[in-house]
Amino acid sequence: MPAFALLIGARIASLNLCTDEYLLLLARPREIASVSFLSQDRAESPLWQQARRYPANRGSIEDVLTRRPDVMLTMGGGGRATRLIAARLDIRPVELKAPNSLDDVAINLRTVAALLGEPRRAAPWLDKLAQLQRSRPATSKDALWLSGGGQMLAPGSIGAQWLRLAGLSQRGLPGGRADLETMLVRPPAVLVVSNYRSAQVSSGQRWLDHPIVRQAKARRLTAEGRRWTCLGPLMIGEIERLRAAAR
Amino acid sequence: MNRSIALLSAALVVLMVVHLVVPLAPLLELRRTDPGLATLLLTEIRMPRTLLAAGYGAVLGTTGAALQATFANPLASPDITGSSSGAALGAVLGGYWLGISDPLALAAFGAGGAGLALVALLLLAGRRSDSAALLLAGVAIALAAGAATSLLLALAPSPFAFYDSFEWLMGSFVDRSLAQAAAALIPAGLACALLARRARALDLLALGEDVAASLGFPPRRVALEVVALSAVAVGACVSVCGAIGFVGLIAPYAARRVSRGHPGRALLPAAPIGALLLVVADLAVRFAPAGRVIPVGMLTTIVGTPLLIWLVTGMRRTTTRRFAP
Repeated sequence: MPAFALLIGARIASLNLCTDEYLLLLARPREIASVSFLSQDRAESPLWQQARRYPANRGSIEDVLTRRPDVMLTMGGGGRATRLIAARLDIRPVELKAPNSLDDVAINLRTVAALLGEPRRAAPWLDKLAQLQRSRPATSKDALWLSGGGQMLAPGSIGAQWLRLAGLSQRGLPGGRADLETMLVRPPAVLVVSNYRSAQVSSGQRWLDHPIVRQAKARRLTAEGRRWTCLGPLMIGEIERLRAAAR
Repeated sequence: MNRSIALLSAALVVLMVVHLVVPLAPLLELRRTDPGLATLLLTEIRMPRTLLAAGYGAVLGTTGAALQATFANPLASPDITGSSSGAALGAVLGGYWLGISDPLALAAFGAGGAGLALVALLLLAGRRSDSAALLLAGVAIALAAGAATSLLLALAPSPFAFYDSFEWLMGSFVDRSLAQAAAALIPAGLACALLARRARALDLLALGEDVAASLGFPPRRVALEVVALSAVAVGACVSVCGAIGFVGLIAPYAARRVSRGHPGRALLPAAPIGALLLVVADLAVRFAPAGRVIPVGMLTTIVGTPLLIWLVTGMRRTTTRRFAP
């Protein structure tokens, strides 16, 4: 058992949208010292209502100092200075791994539950994840998961691994981007379009409104874009939904 | 001159066809397997890009020639007067902040921005100002409008909007629809046709304001008409493709070689020359490495800057010679 598991009743501050997700799903209210401001944004996180009950930080250790957390959760590193300050103030910095596989998601779930002093809190999520993997459809349909501008999931990435659990296999394209000619000439069997900030104007969003994309000869599904930013445990419900829709 | 225009137009048609069919392999493949799809590919995806490249080039040539004749200055192109940057600012304000999605309404915002920039130029530098005053006022307007565009994009609701500043400030024809092409080119084409009818007035203006006035072309009115029509034409194109520099400077310069120095008569040849330049530039950016996008305006700027330097140093030489003892 890692040493930090002994911190019974630890108060945790999360500095990152993706670490917020684990914390909000596993912690009890009094165990949460702070979450990042992004989680409180309706456009960024499905957990925004829950996140608004806690003080927000802008991803910097300075914002959470006065909350006196025991643990500071980051992902993708906070820089050397941040770690030094944390050590001086007796805040334990814990860095979750940006997941490259579904196993990484499971490891992060276990890590955060252990930090909270109650490893079994991860169990329901781990069970659901395992169940989803066991029931993986044997065959998969040719699919393209797209967001604005034709940006797509890379085949083999964790996003594509999640998609495969829904029975969809992400196609690879040169340049990592779908272009209009591909959409017209070789449309996928299933087109999964992210609705991430789809009501807001950008050239990428305009690309999705091009007649060729709108009328592509493909079955069309909508991905709940916010869940695909972190590709963490919130994906479990999303994949169950997509799997049912793609059937 | 007519023969030159005919030759230029013929060359333009050939290059537009090349622009339309390159890359050829997917077209040939589709024509074998699914001819209907090949037609769709040509009309829905490639045609808008070709039309926009040629049309925007022609607009830059015509408006550049008209502005240069009006301001009696070879530097008064849509980009250097700040009207392209003003148009981009107007379109960004309308599209990203006011949520306007109708391409024609966006074109109106572009035209409004371009018009305001030109009015600001008239106020700052005046219509018959020397080159330095015009250049400085234009650069100031262009820089301010460019910075304001970037600021609006940085603060826009969508966090992706800021990445678009590249496209707004440098221009691109990629992945536009036929509807967008129509929204840009129909108003711009009408405005340019009306501009072309001012060719004689602009030629007379070059002989002196009194000459023009005595023959029934009040200089002030001609200038205001040129400014308004140029704003509509440039604004409509910028609202769909972003700002593209230097074509509006180079094309009129070359066109005056064809028109033997007549600034008004240069309007007609400036259109095919501008179109040729942009079609060639847009053909060239297709050879970028896969997955990388080079904005077409970057290429025109790189090619056009030496000409600007040459024009400015040439002006300085003639000025010093004139005043030398």
